[in-house]
Amino acid sequence: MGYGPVEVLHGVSLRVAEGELVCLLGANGAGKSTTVRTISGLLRPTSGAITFRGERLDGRPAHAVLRRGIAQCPEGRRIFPEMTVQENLEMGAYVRGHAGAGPDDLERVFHHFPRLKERARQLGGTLSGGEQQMLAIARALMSAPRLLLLDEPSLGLAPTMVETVFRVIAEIRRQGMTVLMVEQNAALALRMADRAYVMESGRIALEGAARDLLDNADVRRAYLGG
Amino acid sequence: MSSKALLGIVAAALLLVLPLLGVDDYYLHLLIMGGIFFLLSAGMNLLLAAGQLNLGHTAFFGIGAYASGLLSLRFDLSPVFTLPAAALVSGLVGWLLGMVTLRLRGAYFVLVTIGFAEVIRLVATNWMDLTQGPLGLAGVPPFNLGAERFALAGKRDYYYLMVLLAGATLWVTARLLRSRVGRALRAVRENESLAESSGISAYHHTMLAMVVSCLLAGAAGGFYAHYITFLSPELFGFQNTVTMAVMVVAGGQGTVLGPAVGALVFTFVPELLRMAAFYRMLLYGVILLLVVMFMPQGLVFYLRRLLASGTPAPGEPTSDGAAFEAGAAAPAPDPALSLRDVTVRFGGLAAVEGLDLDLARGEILALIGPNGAGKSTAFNVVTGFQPPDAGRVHFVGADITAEPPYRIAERGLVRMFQRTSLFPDAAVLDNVLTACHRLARTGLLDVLLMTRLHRIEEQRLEDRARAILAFVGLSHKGDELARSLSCGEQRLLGLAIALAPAPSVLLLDEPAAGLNAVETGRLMRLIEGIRARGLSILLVEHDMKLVMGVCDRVVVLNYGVKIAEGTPAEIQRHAEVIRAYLGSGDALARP
Amino acid sequence: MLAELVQHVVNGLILGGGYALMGMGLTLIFGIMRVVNFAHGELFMLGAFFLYTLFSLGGVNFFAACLLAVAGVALVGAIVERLILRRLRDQPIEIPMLAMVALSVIFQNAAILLWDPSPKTVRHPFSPVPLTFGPIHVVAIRVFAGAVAVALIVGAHLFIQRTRLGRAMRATFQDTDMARLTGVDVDRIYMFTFGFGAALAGASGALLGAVFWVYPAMGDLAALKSFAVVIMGGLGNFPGAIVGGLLLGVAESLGAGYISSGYKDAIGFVLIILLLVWRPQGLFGKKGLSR
Repeated sequence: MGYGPVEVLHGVSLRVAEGELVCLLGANGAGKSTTVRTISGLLRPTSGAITFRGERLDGRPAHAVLRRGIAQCPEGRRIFPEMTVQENLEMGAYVRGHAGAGPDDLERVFHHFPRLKERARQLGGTLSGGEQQMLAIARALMSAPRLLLLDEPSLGLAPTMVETVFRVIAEIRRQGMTVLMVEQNAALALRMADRAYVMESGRIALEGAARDLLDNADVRRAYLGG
Repeated sequence: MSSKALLGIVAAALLLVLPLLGVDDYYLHLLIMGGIFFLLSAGMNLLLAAGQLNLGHTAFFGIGAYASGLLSLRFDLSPVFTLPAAALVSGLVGWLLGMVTLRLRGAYFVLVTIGFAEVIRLVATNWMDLTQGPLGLAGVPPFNLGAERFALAGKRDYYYLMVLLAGATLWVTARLLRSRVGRALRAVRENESLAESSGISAYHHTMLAMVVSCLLAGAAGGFYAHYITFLSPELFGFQNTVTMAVMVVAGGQGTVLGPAVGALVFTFVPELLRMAAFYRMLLYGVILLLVVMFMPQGLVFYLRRLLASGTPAPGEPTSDGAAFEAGAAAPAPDPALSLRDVTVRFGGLAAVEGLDLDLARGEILALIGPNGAGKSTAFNVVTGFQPPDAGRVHFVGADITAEPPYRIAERGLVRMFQRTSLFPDAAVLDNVLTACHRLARTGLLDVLLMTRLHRIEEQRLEDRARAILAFVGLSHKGDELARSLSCGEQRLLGLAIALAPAPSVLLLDEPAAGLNAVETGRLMRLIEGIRARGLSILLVEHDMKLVMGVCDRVVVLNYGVKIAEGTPAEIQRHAEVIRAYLGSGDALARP
Repeated sequence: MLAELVQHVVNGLILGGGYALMGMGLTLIFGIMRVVNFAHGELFMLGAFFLYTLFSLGGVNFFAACLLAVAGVALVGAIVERLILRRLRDQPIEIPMLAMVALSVIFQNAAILLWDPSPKTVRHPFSPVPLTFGPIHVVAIRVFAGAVAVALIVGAHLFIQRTRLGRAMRATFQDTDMARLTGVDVDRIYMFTFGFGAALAGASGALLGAVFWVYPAMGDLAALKSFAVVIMGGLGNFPGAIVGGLLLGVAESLGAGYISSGYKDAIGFVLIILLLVWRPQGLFGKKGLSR
């Protein structure tokens, strides 16, 4: 943010174990998105290390990070608006090279997201917010990742859509996916997560098991200041 | 007297005395041609300062040449009339073209200007009755001062006329670029929305630059007509534009002397390489490419750096800087700002639905809500960046719904943008000074003639800018480039820029985002200090410490709808607000 | 009367095919890379000169020479992107523009020096006797040019729409950061895009050069026309460029036939200026597309 070099994250340390669902909470501007964009390779950290399955990833470009198995579902969904649902999914598999998406991969995804199968030939930009979020998650899954980064999946969605999306996330998680999720909707996120970190002004303010943080007064203070 | 001024006087004296030193006619001719290109490059440079590249500029040169030539040939008018007339014709055409094209930005504008020049060239080539087409127009009368017996003869006479024109051009461009006009142009180029928010109309300023540049081109054309006395449609060729572009960029775009240096260098050097005449254009191309790739700021910039005597002496403040006029406390009508039933829909989704909001005079009101709740959209509606689909906005009683941003800023409603918004390549003091634009009362003529009134006003504005910087605590950074400040400092600068146009209502969009506790505390004190000066403040914030600490009242939005309103303490305990922020959490059972 | 009209339209479509190819390349380069390629006309010219050199001077088979010419221009394009444009990516928009202007000057003047400025004809292997289709007479070379242009237009369109690489290009155009997140190597896409756009221009140059003449300044008008096409279709709008190109070709042909031949080149620009007054975003462009 800003112009020129500015330190936005100050010594952020976090861990995600395989099979876990960890969420990253905090008010807007706390640095959650910056953290995630640094992990996925869109931003380069000035110092520190990002290690994934034993390999250093900090400073690698986004397509290399994706190839190692970390897929990001960015804030605001970022569907390719002028591509069809199917083409969006095919883009998700781009990183797998020309072998790309076999018909079984597509089938598997459609199984998870039947709504998308109906709309396979529709342009991404014409889908509703919730459908776009599904598409974004499905697209990320097409690259057969080991770790899924979700950046504010509930953003701008009506409450019923949020329910549906989170149910899908729970299902994916149940099938063994490791997930790091950034969310503003703390209560919902904490109900799903194993562990959570709360960020404030570019650093980790709180961390712990999700269950413990659910009714934690500190969390409420971090959001509402009281 | 500064060394720069001394150098300038010596150069001027040298120029005036040159013909008397027995310099060969050939070199006088080169200087004259250099002068013509200087007029052309200076104009192109002026428009480029506003961020618009006119690659059809040669069309205005040709229009001026043909206008003056035809008027004097066909109507027997003396060139002393036709030359200014030619300038006016070019200026008029520039104004008309600007009306059509200046709403376009960047690439579109460049393409249209190129196309325009090509059309003019084709017209000149094919409209035989008017222009004699490719045969060209011969026999244009030489320049005279009213009657044939006062005709100019010999290179020396024309040389002095050119010195006059070049001197006037230098004066005009220097006055424009170094005054608030120049600041406004650069602001439009660097950050158009911030410029508009500070009361600078991008369209009007770009148009001013366009018309002046066309006037200069027309004058150059008129001079050319009576000097060379033969005109052909070649004048409209793209080659000329390329030459001008090289001069502007290699000389140093955005500077006053750049075009002059560029024009002189690129008139003399090719002549000296006369055997390379065959290769001249090729060489130009290579030079332009190399300059653009490795030295995009041009000669003058690098020369300045070379000759710079360390840090420039800071301007002397004439007041102690402690007090500055805040916006006049809003006149009687209360509330200061009011929204009624404002609705904005994007596609089928309502970003803001039926919003009613009142900001009382002298109040600090916070607008809070989860991400995507519609707060920024509401701000955009108030400041004119987003016309609402329904509802009205009133500012001290006047209906300002859907007025353009610069007009709203002129009324005294100013916004500080979310995330940092500055003029990154200008000095910190200049950032604030530029934003004081709306407070200037002297007219364009005063700027050009550098009247005493104008100079007093500039000093007053500078004092004001310094006072504001002192208020936010950035005095010590006045001469640094805005982009080199830290995040917290940039935020303070953003605040200073918002205060500069003397607003009566200030809109702050997430001012504490990314600031640490200490910086947030300082910001809170500043906000209180601003209110103490009589302003009313509406702010959008996520940082609850700031909201609770500084605000009188809080309005909460969720999904575009107001769900609560009250004092900070009431809001903190409000059940629905808590649910909105922290989520209901009862939609899912744990797996 | 009608026959004459149809004749003009057919000629216009063939010409328009060439314009469409030019416009497609230009709009692709702008849409994906945000670069206004002022050297586009010279890439057109190089296509023609490569064909001339290979075929008329070098004796290479005509059709092979066409292919090689296009490949040559594509290579030039890729090199230009890699060496020049990549370096200038973070600069304000005028800088790459001016660099391309400089490049166009360099190419054109180099061409004057390498070959001479006099117009040359490509003595293609087609018979000069016009073929007759009902009331219409078309010379074989024009039929060839038209057919190849159509094939290329359709081929390019299919490539962009159906292939993996084409999808990557479209993704980069629609959302560059997101494209990175799906594993697209954006640097390579840029280089490929510029090469591809150059190839289209080179093909247009080879075809139109074979139909008309080959001379160093031939790129000037071609560039201006392709800008007109792109503005009509909307900057970055691929199908728009195709339609715009064909429309311009037909408009010019009709204008030359019924109004005046001298002004026919101005038709494009007058149309554009009128169009922009009425619809600043072009015929198909979206509102708010600016720098």
